[in-house]
Amino acid sequence: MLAALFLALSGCGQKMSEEPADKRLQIVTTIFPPCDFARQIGGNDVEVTMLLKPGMESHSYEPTPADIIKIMNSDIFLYAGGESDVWVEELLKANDGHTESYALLDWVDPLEEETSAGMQVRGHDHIHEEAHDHEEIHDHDLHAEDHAVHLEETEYDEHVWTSPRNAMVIVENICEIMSRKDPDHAESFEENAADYTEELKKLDQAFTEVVEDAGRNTVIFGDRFPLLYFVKTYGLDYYAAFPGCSMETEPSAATIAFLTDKVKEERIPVVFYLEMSNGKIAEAIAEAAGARTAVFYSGHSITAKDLEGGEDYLSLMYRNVEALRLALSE
Amino acid sequence: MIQYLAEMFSYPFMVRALVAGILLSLCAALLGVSLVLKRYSMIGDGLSHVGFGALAVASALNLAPLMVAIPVVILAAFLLLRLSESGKMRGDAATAVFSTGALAIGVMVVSLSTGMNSDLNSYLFGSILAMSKRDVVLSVILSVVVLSFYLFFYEKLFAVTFDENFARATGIRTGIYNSMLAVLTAIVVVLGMRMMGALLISSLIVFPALTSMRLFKSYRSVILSSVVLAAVSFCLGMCISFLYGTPAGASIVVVDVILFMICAFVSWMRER
Amino acid sequence: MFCLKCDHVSFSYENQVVVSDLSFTVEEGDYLCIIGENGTGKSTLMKGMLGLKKPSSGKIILGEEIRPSEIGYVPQQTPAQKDFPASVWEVVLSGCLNSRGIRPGFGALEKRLAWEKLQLLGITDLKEKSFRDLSGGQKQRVLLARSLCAAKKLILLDEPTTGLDPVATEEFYHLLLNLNKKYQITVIMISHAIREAFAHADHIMYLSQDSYFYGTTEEYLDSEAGRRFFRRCSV
Repeated sequence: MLAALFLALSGCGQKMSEEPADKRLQIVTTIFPPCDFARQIGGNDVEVTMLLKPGMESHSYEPTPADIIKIMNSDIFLYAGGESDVWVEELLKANDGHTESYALLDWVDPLEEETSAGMQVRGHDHIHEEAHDHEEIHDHDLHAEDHAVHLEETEYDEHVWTSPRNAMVIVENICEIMSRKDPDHAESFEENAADYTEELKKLDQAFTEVVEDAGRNTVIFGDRFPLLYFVKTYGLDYYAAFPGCSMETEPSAATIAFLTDKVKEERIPVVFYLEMSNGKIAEAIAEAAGARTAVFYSGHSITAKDLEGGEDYLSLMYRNVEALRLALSE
Repeated sequence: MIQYLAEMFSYPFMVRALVAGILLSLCAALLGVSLVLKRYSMIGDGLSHVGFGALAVASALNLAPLMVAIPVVILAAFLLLRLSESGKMRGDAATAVFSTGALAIGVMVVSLSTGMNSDLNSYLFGSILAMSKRDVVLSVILSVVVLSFYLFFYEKLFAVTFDENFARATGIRTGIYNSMLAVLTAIVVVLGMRMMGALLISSLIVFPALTSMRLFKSYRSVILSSVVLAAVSFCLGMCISFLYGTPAGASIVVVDVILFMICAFVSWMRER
Repeated sequence: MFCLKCDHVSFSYENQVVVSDLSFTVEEGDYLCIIGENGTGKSTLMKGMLGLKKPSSGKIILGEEIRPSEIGYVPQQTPAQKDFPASVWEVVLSGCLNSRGIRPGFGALEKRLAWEKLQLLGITDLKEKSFRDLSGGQKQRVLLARSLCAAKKLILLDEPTTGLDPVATEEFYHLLLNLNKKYQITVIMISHAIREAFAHADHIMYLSQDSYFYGTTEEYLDSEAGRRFFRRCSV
């Protein structure tokens, strides 16, 4: 109970709908990054609600009737786009309201979902089908990798905000929409957006420097891999246990074997796992290969503790900067 | 393939899973003989659902899962036995109440807090990665306790299982033995369900006993056979899981089922 | 030398008085048969004699040399036992537990005792057979052998011939008579097999809802209640 109150105060929490006469711009988002961005741009002049509860895993999210009502009562609704948000499309088709909805995926150049060598791709979510493997084929054929059934349409990775450069584009778009919907505060929105974009530029700079100074350019994830945009932006190679939106939690022996061998071969010091994951796969690989584990934030969601502690997209990404520095060192 | 299997042992997490798992399987099989013969076959299922509920609540409140789950499940085991002894509710009804009730509470708590995440998913279906060093130590301790219990009190356990009324009349404190059975079963369930999954742990308890009962006629041979079958099905299941990437829990149970069918067939042939 | 004495004993079950103010004495060598309609407290009384249930008032006193754990007991068979994998030897040996205390295993003494009882009841050829594969009559003999392992001088049987065919029933009763007369074992038995009971038992305890009768068989047959009961049962 107390936590909920606290979260309401910090802005990205669930609100009890007690203020029917709130004249401020009502923004609802599904995931954390647009919530944070909107908050940074709007400050106290907007009310932002995040549907994904802190600590909740984004891929098992099911909208409740209360959530749907919130969406319909909002002025702006921001969601990620992609397969996990199919329900959004359906919801919007069924209702005409005054809500303006936007998928973040539409604002940037989308990347197709891909699998890297060694990834476990069986047992995919039934919504997902395989994309072609774009990576080079290795000499030995690992049976963990499937050339799976292909659909006509290709799937796009939805985790666009993981690249700070995409984040800047998104911020720009959000600011534009907010200013249009609420012209009285447009000036302050634009000012905040500009400031925030500067911060994002610094972040981008930090990442670029780390990669430049690095002794290697491969990262290993003992987990899912929602960081496609991030690695593509900074030119990093990657290997992971499962692809971006896999619902899998149990790795096959072949996957662990492959990743362990990779870590040993290239003497990689750190195996990453995602926030809110139990980290067991990364631990198993690290233990077998003599490396450490570390968390890498995708920012998709945020834990209650972090939210209460005042963490946001920027602070989480800076944690990533440090983690990356260590992972890429000799 | 042999080489691939041998590779299994090069991963510390696999070694832990094998050691802890085989010890827990043996304990479960031993306890299972008494439980099945006392017509408590569903108790493993009931307790594992309670375990899930407890783990879910611990997870939501950010408490150490085992610290919460073990006492809760032990308590449930006692209540289950008490209820059916006092005749207020029959054993199977009591188990159903506990089992579904606890599962529902677990799901509710989960949905009100963080929602289903990979941890809770792995509680339901098991995870081969779940066994930590501490789990191995706990399993070893538990096995020593269960084994000593069974060796030392073998005849008394037989009497209590075969005929509780008679056993009590000859001065055996049946209440204590029943309580020990309950406590040990509860601990085996909680430790084992993280690897096998709450939905499947009860098969570790009942299958070896049921299969052995098809084939063997004396209590001693049933006990020995159960232990052997448990070890065999566990090892085979783990190999299959490693080779084909299937979940450990389900693989072991499939082997159990096949063994059961083979033994049932053999026993049927014998009778003709 | 009395074997067992009940002194104004009452039992209640779930707050209802089932047996009230019973007083009687069973001497060594007696053969007592407890009869009566269902629900009159026969099993409860027997459990009390075994020390499994405390009387709500009064006392049950055992003979000098008998401890509660040294009373042989042949309880009714449970459904679980129909399918139970246990060899006859294992079942009979388990009767020797009362002399083992906390020690595990069985010694040569117990094994000899168990073997003697098997011989006594003529079931030595069944030793390795599985209990669940035996006929009804054979099973009861095995359980009787078990109870004799535990017993020094006194055995209690709860409806031992339920479900047995007439031949097996008669054989069983002959066995019991033999034990009673030849080996001086005191027998207390709950039974519905009236004909055999009256033929063999020397004492009858009849329990009804609100009263009881205790006396020799002749006395009972002569009494009002006895004649009525007997007539009703012999049709």
